[in-house]
Amino acid sequence: MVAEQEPPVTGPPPDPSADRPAEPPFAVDTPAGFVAFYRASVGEVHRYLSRLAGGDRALAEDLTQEAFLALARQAGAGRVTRVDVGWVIVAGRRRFLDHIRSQGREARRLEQVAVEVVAPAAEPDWSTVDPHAALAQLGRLPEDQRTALVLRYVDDLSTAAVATQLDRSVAATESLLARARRELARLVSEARRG
Amino acid sequence: MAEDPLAGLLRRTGLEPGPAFADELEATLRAELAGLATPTTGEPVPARGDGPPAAMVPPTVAGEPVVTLSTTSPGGSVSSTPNTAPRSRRVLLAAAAALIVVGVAGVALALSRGVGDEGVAVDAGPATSVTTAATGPSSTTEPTAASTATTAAPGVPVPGWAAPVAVALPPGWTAVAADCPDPRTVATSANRATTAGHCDDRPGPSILIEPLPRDLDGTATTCQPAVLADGTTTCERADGATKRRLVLVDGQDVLVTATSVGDAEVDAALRSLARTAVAPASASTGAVAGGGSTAALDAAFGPIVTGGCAALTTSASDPAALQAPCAALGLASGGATVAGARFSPTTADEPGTARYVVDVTLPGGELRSAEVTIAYRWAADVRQGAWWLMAIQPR
Repeated sequence: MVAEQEPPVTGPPPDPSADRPAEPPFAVDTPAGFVAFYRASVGEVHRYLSRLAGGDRALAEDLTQEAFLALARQAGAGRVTRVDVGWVIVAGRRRFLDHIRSQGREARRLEQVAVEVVAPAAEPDWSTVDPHAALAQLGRLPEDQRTALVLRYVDDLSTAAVATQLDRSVAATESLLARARRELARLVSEARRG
Repeated sequence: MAEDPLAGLLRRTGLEPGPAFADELEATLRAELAGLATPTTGEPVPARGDGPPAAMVPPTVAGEPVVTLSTTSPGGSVSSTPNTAPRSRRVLLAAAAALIVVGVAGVALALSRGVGDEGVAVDAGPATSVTTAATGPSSTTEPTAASTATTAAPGVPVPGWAAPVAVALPPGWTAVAADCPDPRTVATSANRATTAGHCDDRPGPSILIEPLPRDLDGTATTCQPAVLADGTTTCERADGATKRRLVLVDGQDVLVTATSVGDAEVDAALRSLARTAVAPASASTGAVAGGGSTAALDAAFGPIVTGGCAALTTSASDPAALQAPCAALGLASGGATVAGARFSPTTADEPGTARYVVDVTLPGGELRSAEVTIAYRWAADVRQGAWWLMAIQPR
């Protein structure tokens, strides 16, 4: 699960207060500290971003690299001194969202005029689905559907928060999530039938 | 509340990073951190706005020579703009160069092209141009396959650059040298590239122009290609005060990072630059017919708009790719007029290519359209560090 924290862009970290969570565990204000953090977190970051990327390894690597480089620049400038893995994940997610936002306008326009004729699909028992197979089918989903699923079910964001991230209305996001779930169910079921 | 089974499944998905990627990225991050800690490396560069006309040196691996078009005026906000957004995948470097001559002379810019594959340039293509810097090393070297396959030592100009070509400075702009001394090493899944580093913190509005392969910049996948009136493709991403575009100049992917500069001004500057910045190839290569900077640009873009089918074979084109639709349209014998052309968006999966949709008016007046795919040919390989960066500031 990814905390919905946004990486600070500029300025010093907020003042600590009693009700704030504990200080992020990794000090990245030295190269050695940064590398230690990188080694500890690159796997989780890559796994997360590969979900968003639908199993596209090249894209996941790009996003991972960009996210860590963003942190390196912030750390090098002294703007960030301590982080946890959520910082990098959110940074990578931002870049991915930039991508789909820029590409999504036309798709959404078409989507608005399309008549949805999707037969309800019985959901498989998700707990029995092989994760590798699931990732493969996730990669076949339209980008916005895939992103919505990851934000909703992996990041555990509310539908409203997903809507904000995707620059859509809550109603449209609910519809998107429903379609995404149906489509993933259909794809997984089809794949199982061979 | 029990976890949704779908959430549980999705959280079990995900690809582990490959060890090569993880190692490369670690090296990249180490280099990035070292660069941040040591802001000056490589060749000395002229002080910003200092001295006689700024000019350009061939790119070097360390201490990228950088020339800025600068201003005598206004300040503006301080910007911090990453110059590169590294990308993975195979890489062919689009190496390019620009010469700026302040005041009287103007700007020279050259673009190098050729074919490189997996690090080996197999076709140097048309001559490439480079200019000499006022204070930096200079070199004039004809590109060869051998030279372009050689990795340059740090601080040594990358071979493969030909004579400078002076072109006009875009109206309203002047040139200064920028201080971007610290090359950034970018690790990708296939290559390790050295790119220009920290031109980020430059006061005032600025436009950075970085010739680069779209594979590396990240912009191609974060932008939607658009079309400018003059046929320049762009893709754009707003990032606060910074906007990035991937611009096509004579078949050259150029990443443009504009900070605190209005769209119209960027468009105007780019159009002007594009009009003037395309270097003619030398007569020996014969790759660009006509010569002259404007003619070279026309050869790249113009004939498709104004010329006949034969004119479609240009420096930025693959003759075979162009002639095929010509033949399909019955134009091989000429006599038809190309009535117009527009770019058709390409995808990040098509590095080094672009598509035109060409409208052709046949002799009888019939209008036909064809899609033309153009394969670019790059001269240098990214691992040479043959990057060049230019920044522009409005007057």
